[in-house]
Amino acid sequence: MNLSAIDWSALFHATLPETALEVTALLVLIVDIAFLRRTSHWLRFRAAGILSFLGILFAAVCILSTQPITVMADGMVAISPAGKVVELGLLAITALCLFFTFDEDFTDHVGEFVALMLFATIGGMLMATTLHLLVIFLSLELLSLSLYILTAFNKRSIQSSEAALKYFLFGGMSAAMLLFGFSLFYGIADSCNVFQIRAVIDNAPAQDLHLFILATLMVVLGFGFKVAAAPLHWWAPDVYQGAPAPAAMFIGSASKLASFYLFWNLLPANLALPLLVILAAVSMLWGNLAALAQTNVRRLLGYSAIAHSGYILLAFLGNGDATRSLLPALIFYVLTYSIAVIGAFAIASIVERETGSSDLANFAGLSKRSPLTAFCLLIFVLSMAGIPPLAGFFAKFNLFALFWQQQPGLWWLVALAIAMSAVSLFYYLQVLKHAYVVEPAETAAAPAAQSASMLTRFVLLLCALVVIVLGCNPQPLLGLLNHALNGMF
Amino acid sequence: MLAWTIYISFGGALLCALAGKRAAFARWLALLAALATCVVTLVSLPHLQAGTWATVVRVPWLPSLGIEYHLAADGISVVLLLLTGIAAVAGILFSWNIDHRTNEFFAFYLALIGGVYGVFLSADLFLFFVFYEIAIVPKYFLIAIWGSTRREYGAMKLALYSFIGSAMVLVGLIAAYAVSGAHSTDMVTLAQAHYPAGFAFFVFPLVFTGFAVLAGMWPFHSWAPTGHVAAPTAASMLLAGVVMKLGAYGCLRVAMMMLPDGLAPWAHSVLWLTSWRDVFALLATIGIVYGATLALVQRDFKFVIGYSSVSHMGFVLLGLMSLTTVGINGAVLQMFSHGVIAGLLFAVVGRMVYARTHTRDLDALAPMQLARAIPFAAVTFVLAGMASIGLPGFSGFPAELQVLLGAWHADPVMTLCAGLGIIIGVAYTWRAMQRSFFGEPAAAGAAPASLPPITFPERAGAVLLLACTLAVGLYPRLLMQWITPAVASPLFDGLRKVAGQ
Repeated sequence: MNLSAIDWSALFHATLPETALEVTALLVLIVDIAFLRRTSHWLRFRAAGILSFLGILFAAVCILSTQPITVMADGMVAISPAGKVVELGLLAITALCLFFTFDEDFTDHVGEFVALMLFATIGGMLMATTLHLLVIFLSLELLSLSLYILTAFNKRSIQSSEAALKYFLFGGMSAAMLLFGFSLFYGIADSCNVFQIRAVIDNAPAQDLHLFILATLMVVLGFGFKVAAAPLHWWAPDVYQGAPAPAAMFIGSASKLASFYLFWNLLPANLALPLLVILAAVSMLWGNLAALAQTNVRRLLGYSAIAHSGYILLAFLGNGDATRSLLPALIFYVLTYSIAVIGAFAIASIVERETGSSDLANFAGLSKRSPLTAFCLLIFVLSMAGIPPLAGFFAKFNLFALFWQQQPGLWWLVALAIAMSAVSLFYYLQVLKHAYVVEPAETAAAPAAQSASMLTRFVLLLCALVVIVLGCNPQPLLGLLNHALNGMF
Repeated sequence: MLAWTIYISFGGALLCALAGKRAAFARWLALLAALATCVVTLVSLPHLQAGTWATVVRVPWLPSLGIEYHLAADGISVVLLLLTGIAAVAGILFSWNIDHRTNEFFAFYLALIGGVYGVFLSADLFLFFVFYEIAIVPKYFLIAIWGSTRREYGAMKLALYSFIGSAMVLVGLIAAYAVSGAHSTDMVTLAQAHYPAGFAFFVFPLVFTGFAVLAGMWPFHSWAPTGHVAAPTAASMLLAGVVMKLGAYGCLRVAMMMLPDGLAPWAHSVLWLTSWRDVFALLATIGIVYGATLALVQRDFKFVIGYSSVSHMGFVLLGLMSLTTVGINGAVLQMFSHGVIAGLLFAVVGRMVYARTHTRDLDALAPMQLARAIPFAAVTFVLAGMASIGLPGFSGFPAELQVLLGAWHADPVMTLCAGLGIIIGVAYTWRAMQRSFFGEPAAAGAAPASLPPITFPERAGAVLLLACTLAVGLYPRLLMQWITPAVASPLFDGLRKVAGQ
């Protein structure tokens, strides 16, 4: 690569949002360690959060004001309208997760926690704005490494460490596979640029495809791990259960959004099709069936996340060029799911602080303790279950209907997805049953006083309202996504 | 105007939810909201024509998918809207004694009513489905929180059956949307779209069965008795009164109107069945006889009524599957009739008897001499039982008569079996009535059990329902003037073509 050919100032402009977040992360670290070390968690989380909000706001403004760039520096930077949407989504999700750290007190290393979350966001944002295999791998590792540490952050909980170790071991393996796949791609196509690789694949004679197939297989395996698609999901339930709540939220939402979008760009769809069909079907079946047996709400959410990955994978199975039209449906699905899952985790974390654990039984009497929280839980859970008129239903309908139009031959996947959604109702209703119907056992210790601050409850209610509004009137967001995503590349 | 039935219900639900601990406020608010929806329906009657599916509201909703917020009403909708209003008011009157989490109860109750109104008014399939699912969720909570015998089991069973049914409908909906290529979910557009050969053969039974689950079709009926028994009185009344009608209405309005080709004769007959019509008619007939037979041997009073519901809903499905005008007319009338009568029966059993005696065991009720302890309940039950049997003068008579007439054209053997079901119906009603109200005292001369008297709201609700069944029974034209033109409208031309009329 000819370094002198790169316009460094333009490159700086293009990566300004990431740079801004980086500076913010360092500032958060400095402020927290230098000035707030001896103050309360209450103040430290809020100070770090507010600083981060400012950085996030600045980054968002930068993203909104930059023009899309097709390709720069051999594809190292490529800002598409779709990538911008994903970046904005990531920032919003990160901000939301940070809001829910405000009531937490699981760690004394507040600055480090928040800074790591920002680093993870930077990794995700880079994933959305590059077409270069090396940068992809580095940003993916930035995201993953931050998440491993975030998962292990609750040093008082042995589950947290166990989950992090599992996550790390599986993640390391998948990274190795991914790297192997990437190196094959590079070896065959003599380029790290995703576009050029795709062009080589398209022009390759059929007998030369087997190496590509091997490379694609490796990439799909790495990808399946990132989005917790069965049978590569082993880490997910443990992480969802053991990680500190804000970290689990982030893993369930932002990390998925970034990964889905990245692999959407990366995967040569036709080569990966049969494998993805299997991943999708197995995820739906395994995730939903395993969730039926769970007694811990967070673990249950972990299995349901696997199932949702299965539904979302349908978006990858579109028909050739028309596949593009599934991207808005994919992003809409992941965004609405993210809000619901973040909200559900926030409530699980509230229950955990009030009663000591997030087992189903501990949700008993929630509607009596705090009707508002219970109502929000109702909305989030029903949205995940796909009950109209909530956002999750429309996201499913939209994705399934478009998919069926494109791939009538794979109609059975839609039928399976809908059937499995009906199955999922059972465990979602279990959660709501405990929140609304079951009276708390008399032996249970009286729950601690309301641990959720007014602000937290307000944000929760806001999320619930967003889920309702996006379900009743999805057109504005969907129109925006359609508009932004159809003009890309 | 009619759209306000939906908005008033949901608005009332929201207000009730926010009412906090003010129980009396929630009660009165719910009653007022339900009455208001009745008034709205009655006031808009003169503006409607029975024979046309007239648009009430039509605005684009999701233009990128061609989905519209489209409400419309014709004669069939009107009959069911009236039923919904009546059942809603009566249900609230019979739940006047709810004092556990009252505001939540009425919030869920009104949300359910709003969903039901929405289904009966939807002319867009997507919208139809949205309201259909909205109606399911509150049912679960109504039963699980305020129910009695095995309430959590009954509620979960009912919810899962409902959701599996609606999942089948959703597959059909997405298939029709994707395959027709119409870029619209408007029901009339979808009905006129061209589907590939064989499409209706697979999708029609899927959608029909999905809806028929909620209509209590054998062998997917088993949620109904357990659900009814577990539910609090008002929820049983709504379940039997309107929710089972949602299923039957979906069968008619969606499955049969949209995919009439699915009823066409098969190329080969399987056993002696030659089309899906035969299959579903057979299942309906089995349901009639099976429900009636099981009702005959129940010991739990509410199970008797629960199984009788399965039996009576079989008449609705049989009428629909007769594919004759008179049969479908009868089916729609039977939806109304059963809604009122079953509501009344559940009110007597659940509210008047069970809430006072705390038992529904027919053997335990026998020595209490309820006919002397609570004579009003006894009289109500005798009248409701007569209506349920199908005696002339009550609404069940013209309804079931028309169903049988229609079915006779299609299949005399099944009609005879259905007639057998009516006879068993006489037997189980008689048995339940005799054991519960007119049992022998434990010892000669023993005083009847002393029970609290029947309250005013109960009397009002019972009189309302009795008046409806009598009015329709004595003067069926009251509703037939709405039903007949609607069934004869061009919307159902496809059905007539298939039936060869």
